[in-house]
Amino acid sequence: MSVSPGALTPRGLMGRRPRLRVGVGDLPLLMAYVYVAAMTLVVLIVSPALIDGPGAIGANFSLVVPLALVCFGQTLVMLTRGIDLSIGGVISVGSALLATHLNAKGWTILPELLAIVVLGVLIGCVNGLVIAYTSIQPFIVTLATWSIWDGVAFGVLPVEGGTVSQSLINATNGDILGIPKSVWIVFVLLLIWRWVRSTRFLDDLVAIGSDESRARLLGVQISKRKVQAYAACGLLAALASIWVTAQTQSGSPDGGDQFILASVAAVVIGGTNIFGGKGSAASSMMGAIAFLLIPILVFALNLTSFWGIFFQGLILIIAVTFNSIIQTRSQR
Amino acid sequence: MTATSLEISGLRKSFGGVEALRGANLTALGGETHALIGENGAGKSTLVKVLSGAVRPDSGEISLGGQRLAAFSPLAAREAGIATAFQELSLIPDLTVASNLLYGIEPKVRAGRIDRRALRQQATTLLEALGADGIDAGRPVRELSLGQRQILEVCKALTREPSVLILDEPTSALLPEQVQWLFGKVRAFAAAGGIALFISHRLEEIESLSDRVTVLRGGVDVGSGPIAEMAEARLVELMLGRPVDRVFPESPTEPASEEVVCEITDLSAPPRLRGVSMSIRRGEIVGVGGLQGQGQLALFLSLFGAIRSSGKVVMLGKTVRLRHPRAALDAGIALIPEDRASEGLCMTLSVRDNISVGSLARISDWGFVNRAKERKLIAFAVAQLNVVMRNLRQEVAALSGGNQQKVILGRVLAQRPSLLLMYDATRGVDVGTKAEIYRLMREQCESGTSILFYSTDVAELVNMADRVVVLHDGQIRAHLDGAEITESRIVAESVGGGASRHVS
Repeated sequence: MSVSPGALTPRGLMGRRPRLRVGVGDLPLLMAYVYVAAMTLVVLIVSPALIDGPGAIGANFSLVVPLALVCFGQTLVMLTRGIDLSIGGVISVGSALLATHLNAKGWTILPELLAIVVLGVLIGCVNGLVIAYTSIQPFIVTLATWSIWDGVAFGVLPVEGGTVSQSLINATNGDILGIPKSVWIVFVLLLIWRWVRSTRFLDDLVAIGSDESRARLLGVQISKRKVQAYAACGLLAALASIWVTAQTQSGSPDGGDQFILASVAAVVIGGTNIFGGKGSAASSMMGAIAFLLIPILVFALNLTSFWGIFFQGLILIIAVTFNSIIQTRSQR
Repeated sequence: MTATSLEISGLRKSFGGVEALRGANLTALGGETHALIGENGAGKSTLVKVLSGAVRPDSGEISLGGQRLAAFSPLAAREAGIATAFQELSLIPDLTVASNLLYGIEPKVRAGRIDRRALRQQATTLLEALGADGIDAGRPVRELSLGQRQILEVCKALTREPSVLILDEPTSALLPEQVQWLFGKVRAFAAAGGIALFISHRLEEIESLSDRVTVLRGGVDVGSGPIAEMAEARLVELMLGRPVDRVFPESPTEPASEEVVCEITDLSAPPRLRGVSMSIRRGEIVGVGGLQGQGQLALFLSLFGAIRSSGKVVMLGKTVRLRHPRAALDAGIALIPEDRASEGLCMTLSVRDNISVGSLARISDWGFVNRAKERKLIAFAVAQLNVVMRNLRQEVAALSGGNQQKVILGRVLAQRPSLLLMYDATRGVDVGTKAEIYRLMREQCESGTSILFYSTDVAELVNMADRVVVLHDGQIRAHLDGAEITESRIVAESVGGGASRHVS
């Protein structure tokens, strides 16, 4: 049999071209923006003061900041097909330490904050090392470390309270150039994500979550990247801890626990795939905003507050269902 | 980069008590294409993984140009100039073609950032230079066809400018002209002084491409020499450790019965399948041919009730509504799927469970499995196959590919179907297992089962099928019967030029 040279044209060699250039697989990552826009619109119509009243933006965003920080880290970990529950422990232990032992005044607060951040990184490294070098599920490893560090937090500060450095409280409040600091932080996080997104580090996380054995064949340094991802997650949780403690002006030995499910929910609402390989921290932060808009929406609609939890669950299930439908469709 | 020689000596590696390599040796020189062949489970893949640094050997050494390789890691292998196109592909579905192609050698800008635009441009240029410019560098690999991925995997290895290029079964999903493209690349690579290590099941490919050959069996090299001095029969004998008369069984002497088992009328599953009609008689083997992706998969999945379809299917005189695989199984239609790992087997279950799971209703009383009936069923299935396993409780994940395929056959045969659908069941299977599968197909037909099978291997269609239908664009383009079934005719009908242009 002879092959005619015409068969070797690109089209002949590679088969037909695809019909769609933009994958529908990316749709889930855009949905959080839709949720946020829709809810903001409703609140603005029903009860605009909740969003554009004096100080409302700053107050709302000061709730967004810690969840956005944690979601950023959670996204990195979930890209590798992992999960980090220990962020609850990190926030608790950080908060307990800040309210008891670390309450210097003025600039001397900085080394103490640095110590909290280093602690968060170390906790993350331990998670990452155990996960990378054993075959234990990330869920189990971080469930254990969450409990351990919550335990330590209770040892440091048995009941809610303590005193928080006034310098720290001042540092987290107020405006820069007329814009609340909380808004700035979310903005800076988005910029950092823009940078992270274009690094090899992120490609490696996607590769690991997409198919770990292929990533190994590709030459990805899997253990190193996993440790880095969990360390980054610990670091961001420590930063969240500092913000929460300063905002509430007291320490709480289990104050971090509420962030665990909230962060997972927000990341999923943001469209990141819990089975790894696909995700965006920017979308996760949008998911965090959507998650926190729900109680505001409920308040605006004059419903009792239990509807807040109800709708948070509802939006979660809608998001997950939507994501999985898109996933199966785009893989066909 | 060129190396004068690649020397592998005394390589040993075991996985959990199973020795995959037991002191394997191989020597290849610069400028040569060296074929590595052996049955499934002979240790070829393990050898490739050791060479590429994915697996650390228990003992033994590898030298490149006299320099001993000090470390075994993907990075060390890459730095030594070894690049591999893996059989299971090392491409990340969620990353773009460009990111995959240039992984680890990306053009960087400030602060660790990868310049995505430059990356894409460079990838496009490289793909064009390699003659693979039909692959869009900006698309995620997930959207590529299997053949395109295989080509990209080869391009990725070539892009590393290696001194040793390893190709592990690179042609399994390629069209004939794509294979020619690949062979051209490999020849050029060897002509420039590189060492190409080529692993394939297809002996005719090995004969046309390689200079020397090494045969592995049971983890050791059992023969090596210039390809010109190794006759095909000698190679097969070395691979199997015993002489083999022929791979394909004799054609049956009696004609198939006239009784129609399955009558298919206007079966459609748009856009892939557009109105297929045919009838299959008792004890008949009907082959399905055609280029890849012309609706064959849709035909098989429709008949198995796994995708929605319209049209009429009559099994044994009764019209069946194939809305679910359950309905197909109840009507006596069984399927051996394409991807045994993801569609055919529960990898973590035992051999026994994987066989009996297809016939649970028949071996259960009041919803509980009757162990005595199960034993009988398994004995029936296992008696027909030579599965190499420790015992029936062994996980199928631990079996070699050929043996896994036999377990699927065992399950399907235990269901005693009237119509057996086989979708490329011999792909990536060694010669020995292939011969056994062919023998089983004949036996099944003699006992009254009809078989509809699709194969990418045209020789298989020619030697096994009583009739062949060639699919094109979701429709039957040709019915071939008896003496019309020849390789050139099937290929001619597949590519669509008609008989006149292509018969040479």
